[in-house]
Amino acid sequence: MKNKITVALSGWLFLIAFTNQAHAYLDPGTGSMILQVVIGGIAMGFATLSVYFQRVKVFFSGRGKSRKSDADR
Amino acid sequence: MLGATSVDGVRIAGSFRDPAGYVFQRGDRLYRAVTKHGAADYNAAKAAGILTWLCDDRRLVRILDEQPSSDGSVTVLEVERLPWITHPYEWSFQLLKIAALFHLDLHLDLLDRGFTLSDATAYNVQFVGTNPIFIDHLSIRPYRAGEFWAGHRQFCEQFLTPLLLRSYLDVPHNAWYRGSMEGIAVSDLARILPIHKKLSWNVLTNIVLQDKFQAGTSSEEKRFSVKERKLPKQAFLAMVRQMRAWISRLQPADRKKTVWADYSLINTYRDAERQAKHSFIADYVRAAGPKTVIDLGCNTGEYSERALASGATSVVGFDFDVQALDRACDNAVSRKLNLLPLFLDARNPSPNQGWMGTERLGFSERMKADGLLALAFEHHLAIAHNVPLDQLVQWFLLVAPTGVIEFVPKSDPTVQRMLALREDIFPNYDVHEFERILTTHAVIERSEVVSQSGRTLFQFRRSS
Repeated sequence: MKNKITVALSGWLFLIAFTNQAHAYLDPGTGSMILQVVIGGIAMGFATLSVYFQRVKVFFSGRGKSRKSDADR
Repeated sequence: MLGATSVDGVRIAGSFRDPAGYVFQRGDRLYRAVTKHGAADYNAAKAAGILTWLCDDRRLVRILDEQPSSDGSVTVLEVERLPWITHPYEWSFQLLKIAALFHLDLHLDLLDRGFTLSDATAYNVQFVGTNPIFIDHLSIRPYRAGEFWAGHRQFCEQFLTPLLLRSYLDVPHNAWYRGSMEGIAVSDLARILPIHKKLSWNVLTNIVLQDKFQAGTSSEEKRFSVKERKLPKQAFLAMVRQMRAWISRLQPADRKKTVWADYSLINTYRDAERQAKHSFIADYVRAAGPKTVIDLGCNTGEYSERALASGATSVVGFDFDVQALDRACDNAVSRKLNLLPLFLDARNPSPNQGWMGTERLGFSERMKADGLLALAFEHHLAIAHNVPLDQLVQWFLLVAPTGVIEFVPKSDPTVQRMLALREDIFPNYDVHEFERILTTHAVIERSEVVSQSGRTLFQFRRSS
């Protein structure tokens, strides 16, 4: 059973890996190609989250500054 | 201008992988042939102004001339020749990191303009001083929607894993990289990283998972069919940006100080002696006028800087202490010196190696200069490594026609320490013998004793 799962899993992974020619003279490596499919979306998610996180940081740091300038007045 | 527009010349042995073109030289001039395979991508990059933009930015070596070959089979570009070609296994951690960040920034800027890089070999990055510059015009090509980061694995093995080796395991990459030549395999690093390091997202994905996916698919290739699948550009960009953020945070572990890391601060010289050494070197550079200088045993680059201040235009320093090299690199960057500090174990310099034994040329083939500094260096080979003095002198003279060599006598505390636990098998090792040998191969222009222990500087000119 475990064997079947492994074969099925590696089959699925390989299907992804050889989906698109890499337009490259060098072998990009199946490990790298699968990884890019698996984590590409996640990396994009992280990047989006990071943008929102920066906005939140700017929002709070901006508030902090404006409070300080209020106090200075 | 090209004298002839044929591709007659000597092809550079390491230039054979990419069918888009190859590099060859004719005399002192360097050329890149663009084949029909690479013509469309090259023309696209040229038409979009990408090559001019990068050359003007000093991020890409200049194209001096472009002509079709006489038989029309290729386009021949005459390209700028850099003063030094170096290999990633000669770079310190800091230089490798500079090269890695440079490569990623270049890639991000290209993606921004609708172009990409077809590979990620570290050998395409070279240095002018400590400023990185890209040398392969044909690695740049239009980005095709949905394509993968073709050079991701190569980037991991030629930049990332060597940096992780020093950063996580406190092991310099140089010897391993030189042995494998193509970097450090992801699978090798995955085997030796401690488990707690594997738990971070970056290591888990780029090292552990990449290794697992690679291993899980290495057989059974013929069973599976091809299906359309794309990597969105935003995902591509996010991966490159994440890699950049990770690498920018990496620092050498440096759990212990290396022997020579603090040498420039705590060496056995007194200030007056040090001053005498500085003056001697300044006088040599002003008198002999070497433009390029090789500084063997450069440590943090103190005397390289003196040579530059006295009229040399470019210095390559060599040392085997990786922490001293990182300091030299930091000094060169912060003080904007045209100094390139490189790793060298002089007992075993970089050899000619790779395909046909000539793909990557060794130290003696590549490293020639107008001038040589070999200060506090000779005794490490002559005493600590038993190299006969006459062989050593001849080796020095192969590097440059003029220079300064410091002789360290047995009365010096450093040599006494070297001999403290071993038999003194050097009955003829003294300054007179050194002088006699040097005189048989060179003219001694002047000499000066610069320390109380009897250290002596010799300025030489190779006999023709």
